Amino acid sequence: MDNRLILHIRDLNKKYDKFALKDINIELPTGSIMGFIGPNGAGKSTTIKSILNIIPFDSGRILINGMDNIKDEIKTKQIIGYVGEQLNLYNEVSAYKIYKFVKKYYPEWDDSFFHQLVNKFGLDLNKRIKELSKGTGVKFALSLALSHHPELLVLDEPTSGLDPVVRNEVLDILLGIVNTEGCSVFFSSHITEDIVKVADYVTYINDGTILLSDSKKNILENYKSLEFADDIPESVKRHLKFYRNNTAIINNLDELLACCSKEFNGSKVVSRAAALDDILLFLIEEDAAHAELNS
Amino acid sequence: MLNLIVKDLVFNARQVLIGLLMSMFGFLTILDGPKYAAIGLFMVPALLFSQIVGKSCYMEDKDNAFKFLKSLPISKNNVVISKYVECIITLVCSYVFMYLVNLALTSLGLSKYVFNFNLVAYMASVLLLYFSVYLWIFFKYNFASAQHSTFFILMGSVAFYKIQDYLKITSIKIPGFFTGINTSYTLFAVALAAFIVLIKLSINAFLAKE
Repeated sequence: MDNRLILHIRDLNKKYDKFALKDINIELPTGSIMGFIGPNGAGKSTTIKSILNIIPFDSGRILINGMDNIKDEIKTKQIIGYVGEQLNLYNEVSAYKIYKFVKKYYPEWDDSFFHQLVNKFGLDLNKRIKELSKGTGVKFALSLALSHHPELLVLDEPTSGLDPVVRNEVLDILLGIVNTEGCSVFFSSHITEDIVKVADYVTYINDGTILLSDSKKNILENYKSLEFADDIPESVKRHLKFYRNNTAIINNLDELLACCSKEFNGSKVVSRAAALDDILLFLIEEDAAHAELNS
Repeated sequence: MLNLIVKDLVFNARQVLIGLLMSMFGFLTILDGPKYAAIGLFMVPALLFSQIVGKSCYMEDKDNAFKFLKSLPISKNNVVISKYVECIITLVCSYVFMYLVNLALTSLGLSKYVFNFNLVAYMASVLLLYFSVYLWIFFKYNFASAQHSTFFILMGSVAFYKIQDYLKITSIKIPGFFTGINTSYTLFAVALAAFIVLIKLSINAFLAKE
């Protein structure tokens, strides 16, 4: 891992009638994997499509390995491997014809690596895209995305809709390749299990706003899940931003203890690293509380 | 650019073949002499356009494949321009082929058809306008809307002939207006200008398309 940024999003803004991306800032160091978490409709796909310049954005700048993704569109795309949420491939056309078409656009295309991946994934290139299952389609898209040895892999919910067996298989193979190839990954998913497995960094997004972006290590160190043996005392609840049943999520244990350590007396509490899902809920609640306060 | 054109032909190989076979019916008009010349000159390129360019538009729209194209390191301008180049290729190939078939049939004494270049320029202008409007609607909206434009073209053509008939009945003459050399070529120049403007508009529409 070095200090250079493979992906640098600065003040990205994009407005729709009922939704807007607001000042998105993301920094992904070269050689790292970033998980991009958010509920459906949070702006994950819009951000990713902006990175690929599939959709135009209103303002801001996106740099891929220091190159502007609009001014140097072709060059930046040649070092990106992309797998979208939907395949959006020509359904009536065989995988072979699509591979033949795509390879012409990448000077670094490695045919032998492509065929290695095809064999590893057990793909039949003579099949038409519509004849491939969802899982096989994702494997084919991954083979296309990896065969030019991309420096940055951008994956938009690639495992959504896959059964757990195929999901794990895809993730394991992907992780193996990423380790061997040393490429950076920007990976959106609402399946946080996948993110926990592979990510070095985690960025949370909700309603078009980045809620938190930090290393997974820091996030898991800072956010704790407090599990009370009995109900959470009312006096403690007043200091909590998010709790559910007898579990509370906190982002600063020392601060909480400083303000209500006495209330903990007598309560059996176990503290452990919070789940990424619960942290997302905590951040959404916190953001809503801020918004309410400001209004 | 060439890759994109080859892609449309390869991905669409069956439809291209069907289009070529269908366009043979248009060639039959040559055997009937000049009577159906305008129909033949319209029908052959229109059928080929529908099967080659139209079907590739259909595939891209149905599968949202334009998003896939946008994700590749391809100039977006080229994605649009390649479709327009395919129109020109369709048009030129149709007329060159018709000319050669006519030449061969004439040498065998089977054709009385005289290749009228004014009429060719006139029909090419009409088709060029139609193709470019069709593609602009496709890039701006979608395939279904572009297909609907076919209906308006047909209605417009019928209305045009009806108006012509009406003008003849009332003895208002517009001598040589539609077959005169200057007029045909002026119309062609206008169609070409519109073609270029619509390429630019289509590029803008494609860039904004989500």
